[in-house]
Amino acid sequence: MRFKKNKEKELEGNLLIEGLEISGNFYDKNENRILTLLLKGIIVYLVTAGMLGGTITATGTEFNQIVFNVVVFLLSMIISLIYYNKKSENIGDIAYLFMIIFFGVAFGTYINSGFYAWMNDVIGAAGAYFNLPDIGGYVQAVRNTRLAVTFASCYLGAVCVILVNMSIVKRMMYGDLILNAMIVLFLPVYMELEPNYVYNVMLICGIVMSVIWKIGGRYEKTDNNSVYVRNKKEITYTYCFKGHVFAFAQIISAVLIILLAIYIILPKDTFELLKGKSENKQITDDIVETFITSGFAGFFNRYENVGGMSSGRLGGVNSVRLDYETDLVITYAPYNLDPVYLRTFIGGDYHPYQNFWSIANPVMLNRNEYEKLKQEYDSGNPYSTKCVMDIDNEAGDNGEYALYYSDKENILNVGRSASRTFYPANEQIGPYLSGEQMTKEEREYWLSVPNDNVPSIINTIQKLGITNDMDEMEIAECIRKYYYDNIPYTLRPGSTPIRRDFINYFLDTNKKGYCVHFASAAVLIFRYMGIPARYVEGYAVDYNEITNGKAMEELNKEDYLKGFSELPNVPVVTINVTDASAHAWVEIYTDDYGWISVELTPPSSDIENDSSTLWDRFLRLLSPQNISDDETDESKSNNIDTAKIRRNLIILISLIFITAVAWQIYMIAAWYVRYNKADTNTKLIILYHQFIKRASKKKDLSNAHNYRDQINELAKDDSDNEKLIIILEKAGFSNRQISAAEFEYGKNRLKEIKRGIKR
Amino acid sequence: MEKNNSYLSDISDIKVMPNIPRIIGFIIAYGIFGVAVFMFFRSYTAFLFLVVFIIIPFVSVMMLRSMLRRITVKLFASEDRSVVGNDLGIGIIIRNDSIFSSLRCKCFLEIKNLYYEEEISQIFTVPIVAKSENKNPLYCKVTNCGIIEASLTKCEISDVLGFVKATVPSEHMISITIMPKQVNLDDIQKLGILTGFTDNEDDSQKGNEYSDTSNIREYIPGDRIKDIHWKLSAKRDVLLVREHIKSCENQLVLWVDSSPRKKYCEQILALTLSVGAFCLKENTLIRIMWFDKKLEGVNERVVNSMRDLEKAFDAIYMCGRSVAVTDLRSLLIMNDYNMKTVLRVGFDGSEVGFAPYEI
Repeated sequence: MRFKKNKEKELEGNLLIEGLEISGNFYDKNENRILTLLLKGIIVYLVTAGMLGGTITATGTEFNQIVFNVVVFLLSMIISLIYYNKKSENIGDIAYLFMIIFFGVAFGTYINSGFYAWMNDVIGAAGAYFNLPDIGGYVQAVRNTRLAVTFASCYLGAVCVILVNMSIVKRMMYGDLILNAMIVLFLPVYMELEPNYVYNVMLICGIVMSVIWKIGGRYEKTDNNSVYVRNKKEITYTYCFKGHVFAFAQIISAVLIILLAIYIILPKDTFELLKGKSENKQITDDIVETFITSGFAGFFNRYENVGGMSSGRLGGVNSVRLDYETDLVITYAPYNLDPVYLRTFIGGDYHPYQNFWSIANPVMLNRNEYEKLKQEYDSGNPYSTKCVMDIDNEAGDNGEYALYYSDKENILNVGRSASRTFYPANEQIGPYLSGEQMTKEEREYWLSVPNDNVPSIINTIQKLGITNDMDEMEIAECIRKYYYDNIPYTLRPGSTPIRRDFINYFLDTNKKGYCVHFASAAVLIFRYMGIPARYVEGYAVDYNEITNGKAMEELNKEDYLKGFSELPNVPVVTINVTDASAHAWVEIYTDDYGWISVELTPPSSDIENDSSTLWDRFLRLLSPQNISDDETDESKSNNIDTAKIRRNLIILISLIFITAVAWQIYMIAAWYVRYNKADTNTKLIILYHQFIKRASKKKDLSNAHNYRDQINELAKDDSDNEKLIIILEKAGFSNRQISAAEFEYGKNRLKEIKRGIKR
Repeated sequence: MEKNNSYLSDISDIKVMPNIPRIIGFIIAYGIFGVAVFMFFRSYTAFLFLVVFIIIPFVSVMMLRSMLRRITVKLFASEDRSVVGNDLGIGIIIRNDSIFSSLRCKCFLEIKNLYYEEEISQIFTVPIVAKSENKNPLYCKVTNCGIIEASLTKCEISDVLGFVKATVPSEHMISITIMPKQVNLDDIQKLGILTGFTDNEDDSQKGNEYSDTSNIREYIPGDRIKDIHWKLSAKRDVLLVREHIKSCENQLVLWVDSSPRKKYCEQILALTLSVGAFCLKENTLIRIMWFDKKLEGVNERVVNSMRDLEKAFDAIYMCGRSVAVTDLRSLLIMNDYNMKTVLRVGFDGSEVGFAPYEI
């Protein structure tokens, strides 16, 4: 019989098919609206309390959390129940609004004070995070901060439940909930202030419940509260209280187990140590900080800079962007592990507010060090070295590219090459200048500090912990330590605001920067301390770049290095020097050694160095044998309690193992209980099923579906099969009990077959 | 009536298919956006969200997998025979012995009316609750005659988070016969039935010792040669014999004419039932005859009780609706029927009614 598909009829009123139409009272089966709304109210409570409580606890503001939770819970239930029907919705919304206004007016002082107290904590946290000066706060009218914040949190909760309920009650828009939670938690999370764990759990559970509800089926409120809705394709239930409760229970149990496992394996404190920093976030940090400190002007470069030399110009660059293009190609024979400096600019006078170093007066640039070291080498000092470096200026600035220590050289223009002969200094050579003093004019020149910078310099010197008996190198060490501890290195310090002095701004306000900032400030500090100092720019090639250089075995090392070398086996190398090696540093003058370079710039912050991921670090934790000594030291220095994490992991794995073993024991015990309680028929069938389960692992029984086929497959050509089959069929399919003798026969026969299979 | 008890417990037939759009959406939402948010903030809160939302889909799928082995789904009907105008409940019974739930179990139903030869596909989506047996009835009103056959072709069970769908084939079927609602016959009609329209089949003819054919079946060795229905046997290419019962003195032969219009069809059936029921009340044997599309000839049932009458309607429904026979006389003669008069129930062009028809 051919049937006509009657698709047109699908939506023709309630007609199901010719002869049947869906009764009107089918749709009269209503959901239990009260229970539905209360369940939705629980989601509203979890989400609202989770995000709001999480935000307030993240900033460390104290408040009565029990009162807050009770109030939010009750309000969530009330606001959900308002949607019982149209009438209650209309009246309830207005009543709730009036309630909010009433409480806002009646307890305005408490609410304002609590809000101010919380905002003060937020501002304080922001100040600490962005290294901002104390920018004050709001004045609270109520002295009891805890009480005031409790009022404010409850009031905010009352407002939030409306917003959350709007997303949940009608459309179950979990995307909106996640977005709302992100907005509310954004500030504390951005400032690395973590919400209380319990509130995190509440928020996650609330959102997971809303996801289940939305995905699981109908969630919309229907006017007639009908359980069923018919649409184009299907008749579907709208709500099943028991179904939802069970679904929530099973998934939320899983969520709680996951969160408990995370809490044990990777608690918040450990996570903080492992997480590393996001470079992208650091960029936004810098942007926010630059905006707060410098306004929009801070974002604009006043001259082009992609990381090369700035030739003494200061503060006009918002952020240095390296192009990693080769500026120079140098060829030389490394002689020790220290960086090799190629000097292109020496600053003389600092010009405050104009923010630049003028080029040093050539008259003041004596070259005694070169002469003395050359003499030491010529006189056969066993620790003296004579080196030659080939420099090919591919894209660097036009400059002298002088080495420590070389004679005055011609300017090396772009596209030109030159060889520089230099005599590096080392401690073994001894004080090669032997107390040679610079002239008074020179000394005055290299000690000049602009008056505009003096207050700021004095202020900084007071923080350095310098004592009168310290020599130059000890003072340098104090400055270095101060920088390391208090001023982070960044390539995105923001430009110095117009009409602000570069060094004062760096030391007093911005408190972050790159080599140019550190060197400039240090020069004025040294000079104020009576140590001749000068600002130098150029390229610093460190040993890492040397190791990455190309070994030039074909070149004769003798042509590049003669005399003493700490690295006798290292061949001549060619290194591509990029703008990443561009650097600014300080030279100070000592009577015994002349002008020496002093490195005071802190290394890049963790985010710019550490490329390993959280997962990499986590895996390292799990593999103690793979941790190198250095890494072990590092982890010690980072104070990561790896032993604790490993212990927690072992506990967790043990728990899983014990649970698995306990489960197996339970299954075996349950089997024995079931077996012992069973009659002989069931006992034999239980034994048979167990036998078949094991036998099927050794023989393919996929085509044997009954006792006869299975037994004949397992014990082929056996005359005793028939008797066993009859006993099994009697036990399995008849109302008669098998005798004890039959049971014993069946049991023993199964054992025999099992032994046969094993053989 | 339940024809087949097939359940969804045979796990080997289950096909588990991923919900690709949801998985892609999830990967975009959490795999890309979630990871990006976490990598940006490096926040413990974001980390917790990320881990939870990465793991729970697997948990959800495992729960479904565990649940599938312990689910039984079948159809039910509140009664296997109903009357036009009555209420009827058909639906799904889902038994779940596991501790897990699913909020979406799509049951694909094929519902047919065998008499009107119509078929419809209907999806009925119901939840599956843990450790329970849920009856999900679809309350219906019976509007037309026929045999309603509902079969459950497959069930599509989604996990709680909707990442996979397990499709379980099924062949479970229920069948409900819908009888027409009797109409009131007026006194004239009743009188006419009892006096004028009843007739004897001429059983005095030579060799015609049986008058009523109760059934037509395949030839069994031992059957009398004269019982063979030669014409039909020739058509079907298999020997068919008539089964006869002894005729009684008074019998009413009802010829049921279908109509192309559904409305009249229903009225014809209702009138047939009413006349039949009236005759049974008056202890008059009835012989209901109609044109059988499958046999391409006349089909008939002898009705001696209400049960027989219901069976006759079952047979009429199974044959499907046919057209009105224009030359009934020739049809009956051609099929070796020798009655003088039949009571023809049908549509005469203006209204539905019954009238004697002289052969």
